[in-house]
Formats: sequence, C-alpha cells, structure tokens
Amino acid sequence: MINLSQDELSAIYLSLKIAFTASLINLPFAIIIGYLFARKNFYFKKFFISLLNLPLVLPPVVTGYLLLITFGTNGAIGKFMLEYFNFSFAFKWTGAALACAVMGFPLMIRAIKVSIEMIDIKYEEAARTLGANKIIVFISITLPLSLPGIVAGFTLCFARALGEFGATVTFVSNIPGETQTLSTAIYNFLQIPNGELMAMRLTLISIFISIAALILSETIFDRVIKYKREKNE
Amino acid sequence: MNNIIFIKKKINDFKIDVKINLIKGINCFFGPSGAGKTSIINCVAGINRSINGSIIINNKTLEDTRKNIFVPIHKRNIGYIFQDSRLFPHLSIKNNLTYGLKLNKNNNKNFSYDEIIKLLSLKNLLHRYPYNLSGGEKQRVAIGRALLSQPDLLLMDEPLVSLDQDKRDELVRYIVKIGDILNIPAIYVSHSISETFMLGDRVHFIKNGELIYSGNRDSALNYYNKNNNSIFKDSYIKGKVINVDLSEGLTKIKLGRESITVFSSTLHLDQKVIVKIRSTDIIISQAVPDKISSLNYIHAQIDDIIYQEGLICLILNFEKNIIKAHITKKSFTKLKIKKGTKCFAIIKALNINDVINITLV
Repeated sequence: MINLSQDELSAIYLSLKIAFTASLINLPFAIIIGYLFARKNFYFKKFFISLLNLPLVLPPVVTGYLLLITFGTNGAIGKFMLEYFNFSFAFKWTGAALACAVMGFPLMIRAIKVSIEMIDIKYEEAARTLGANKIIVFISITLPLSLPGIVAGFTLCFARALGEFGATVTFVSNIPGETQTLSTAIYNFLQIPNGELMAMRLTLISIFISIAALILSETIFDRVIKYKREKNE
Repeated sequence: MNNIIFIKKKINDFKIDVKINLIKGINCFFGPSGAGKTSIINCVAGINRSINGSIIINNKTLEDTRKNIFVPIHKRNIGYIFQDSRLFPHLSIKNNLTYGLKLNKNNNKNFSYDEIIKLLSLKNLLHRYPYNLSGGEKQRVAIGRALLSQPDLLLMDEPLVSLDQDKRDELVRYIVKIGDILNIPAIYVSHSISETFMLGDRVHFIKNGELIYSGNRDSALNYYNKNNNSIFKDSYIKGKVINVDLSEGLTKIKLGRESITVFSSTLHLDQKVIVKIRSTDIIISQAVPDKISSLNYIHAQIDDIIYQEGLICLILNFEKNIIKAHITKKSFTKLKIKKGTKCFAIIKALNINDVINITLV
C-alpha cells in the first residue's frame, strides 16, 4: 500500500474538486448555449462559435494570461470584484476551477450541441400537439433525449480539467494545498532533484483516476442510451 | 357545433385554397400524394401558418389572419397522429400515453384512460418502451396518446402508410372502433381509396390544393367512380352479403335490387362490403347473356360515353350505383350503343377478388 503524503493527498483532492466544480458550473451554460447553437440562427453565430472555441486552439498559456489580465487582482473585472464583493480568483482554487472551466467549455458545448442537433425535431412537434409549451418540451423531451451528449460533454470537460496545466499555472500559479493539482504537482517534482519517484507515484495515481472516471462515464452513458437499443438486439 | 377550415396558402408555386366543413366523426381527406392534404392539416394543427384564412374548431377560433389571431400549437387542443407514430423513445408506453393527459387542463374528459387502454388493447404494452414495439403497436399507442390529450379535433396523417397489409387491416379495425365512440370531428388523410371508403363518414376529395368534392360515403363512391375513368382505375360499389355458400366457395352480395356472386369464402352473412370491380373485367352485352359461364350480369343503363386513347369508357348506371367499363373502339362500333342504351354488364365471379369488408367490429 502506498502511503500518500499530505501534499499528494491535497493535490488529488484539489484536482478532483477543481475538475468537478469546473464541469458542474459549465453544465447549465453549455446546455443553453449548445441549444442555441444547435437550433437558432442569429447574427454573428459563427463568430460566437469561434470565440467560444478559442481556448481549444490558443496555447493554454495565452488563455491563462488573458484570464490573469481580466480576473487577476489588477485585472479589469478582478479589480471590480475585489472592490465590491471582496472576492478574488487570484491564487485560489476557485481561480484554478475558472481556468479549467474556460478550457473545458468548448468540448462540453460541442458534445451537447451535436447531440441536440441529432434529436429529431418531430418529437418536439408531437409534444407540442399534446399540449406542452416550449419550456415543458425542452425539459421533458429535448433535455432527456440529449442526455448522452450531456454525459459525454461532462466527461470531456472533466477529463480536460484533470489534465489542465498551462492556463492554471499561468493564472493562479502552483501553490501546494491551494492551487496545486496533480499535473502541476508532477511538474513540480520533476523540477527538484530526486523527485522522479514522487512524480511517478502521482503519474500512476492520475492514470488510475482517469480510468475510473472513464469507466464511470461509460456506465452512465450505457444507462442513458438504453432506450435507444434496437428492437432485435 | 362549428368546425370550419378555410385556408389560403402558397408554398413556392403550389397554391392551397380550400374551405372545408367538418362533421362529427371521421372526415376523410382523399387525394393523390402532393395534393396538399398534409399541408392543410398542418395548418389546422398550427405547425404551419396559412397566409389567408380562418380555422374554427368546436366554435373556437384557432386562427384568423384578418383578426390577427394565431393560437399556438399547444393551446389548440388538437390530437395529431403522425405517419411515423413519433412516440417519445425515452418514455415508457404508459408515460407516452399519459403525456398529454397530464398536461390537459380542461376538465371535460371525453376519453378515459381505462377506456382507451381497453379499446386499443394496450394493457400488455404499458411497461415496455417504444424501441421494442412493432409498427402497428406503435400506431395504436400514438392513437391512444392523442385521444388521451382530450382533443377537440383528431388529425390522422396516413397512419397506416408505414405498415404491412396485415397490420393495416388490424389497425383499421381499431380506428373503426375509435370512430364509433368519437364525439368530436376527426380528419383522416389518405391516398388509399379503400381506407377512405372504409373509414370516412364524410369524404373530401382534394386535388392540387383544392377541395373538388365533399359528400357522404355513398355519394363519394359514385363521384369517384364517375370521375376517375382512366383505364387502371377501379369502381367501388357498396353492398351487403346475403348468402354464403361454403361448399361452392361462393358469396352472394346484394347491390341494391341487383346482386352479384363472388368467389370468396371469407365473408359472413349480413356483412357490409365494398366490392371493387376493374373496368377492364366487364363485358357488355345487348342480349340477355344467359348461355355463358359467367355467374353475374347486371342490368344497367349507359349514362355516358367517354372517348379515350384507343378505348371507350362507358359509365354504367344501375340503381344509383355507378360503375365504369372499358371496351375497345371496335366492340363499341359493333354494338352500336348510345347514351341511354340499356345493356347487360357481365362480370366473372372469379374476377372480383377484392371485397372490402366495412363492418369490421
């Protein structure tokens, strides 16, 4: 049995907490925006899609830097938030969660958007003839039918957040117990002499966590799409 | 009760311009594919908008373009049965059935849950999901779901079109049952003449976006027989089984005062039927044809003579029934017949192999 040190334990705990928070906060926004992108046409739609996909193509460091100059203590929004709400993302785990959320957002939107696009609009039409208004249709038909995409999007975002490095380090640094995640901790150990063993332990742990998360998401996915099985299967 | 559909609509080059009065019971919209039938009922449902028009169902104005009234789909109280059933794949059959029932806010319940389950034999399906239902079962659930939303009007858009023949017959029987308890108007869209005459309490012929004829079943039969006189169109006549001779395999069907014998042993006494007769299966004789093998000859009068490419179509009338007969030009000149001539129409019992049973329940 491996005895985990305090720093290691807190890195694991923080990694999971940050990734989970980031994915959870993203979820409602991703569903709404994914729905809009899938179903509505509006001016500058392509521009908005590109803007939200930017974190996918930009170097993570750039994203982190942009977050820093926006939400840092001297940043445009960060300064305002500190002044009026006495709240700051700087060097906090919440900042790491924000960085991970931004990085994972395009992946989540993409999965949800595709699954909403795949829903046959005929079901929604049928629901409306049965007396459901648009909101009830969304909750009772659109949302459950896009559940596979929502689960997939959540998993992708969670996985992206677990592996996030560049943006997090740039935005909230690498502080043990506060912003140090598995990735940043591994990097840290590789920088100090004789740290390889520690790095390897954390590497194995992250492999374990990743596999567990994927198995869990596959299980949920299977349950969710059970009704889609063909008759003769 | 007022149920009027008045729609003017333009879809690219295609124009719809109809005014239809609906009666309580099943109103069949019959017409070829692309005649605009589905577009009309989509306007009624509120899925499409008319450019000019008004739709009044159960005295409620659902749409009036002049007064700028457009009631949204979900407030129209209209049950819609689609070609492709559209059951919600993520809900059990029970939850599919009660989807509209739960949303229904008015208290007048025309159709009770237990009654519908029994009528459509849905009891054994309730806990299953749409993915393991057959096409016919799915449509039955769709019918139940639409009725349970307590509609003021039921729309059926060719609900049998995706089913094979056996399942069609089965489902027609269920629709007839529904028709019997229906105290609201229903529109049944179809391009199948046999479905139309089996189900329609009133038949509306629609062609090129226009209503060309409305009438009850009997007059619609005659209208159809008279106006569809191209060579491959059949005649349909209503009758009643008066004698079944199982040893000979022959069934006698009364058509007014005349009767014809058909080779069939699947019909029962007193059943109401519609007999389909092909116009090319009829032989015209001027003398009483008593020394021939054919079991049937009907005394008829020639109402009209239509000259067609290489052929003559005779419109024959017997006791207010109309049937068509196609003969060659050569036979026509040989017989020297005119409008008003009395003659005998000979039909072989073996040639009548399509008798539609319309007493289905």
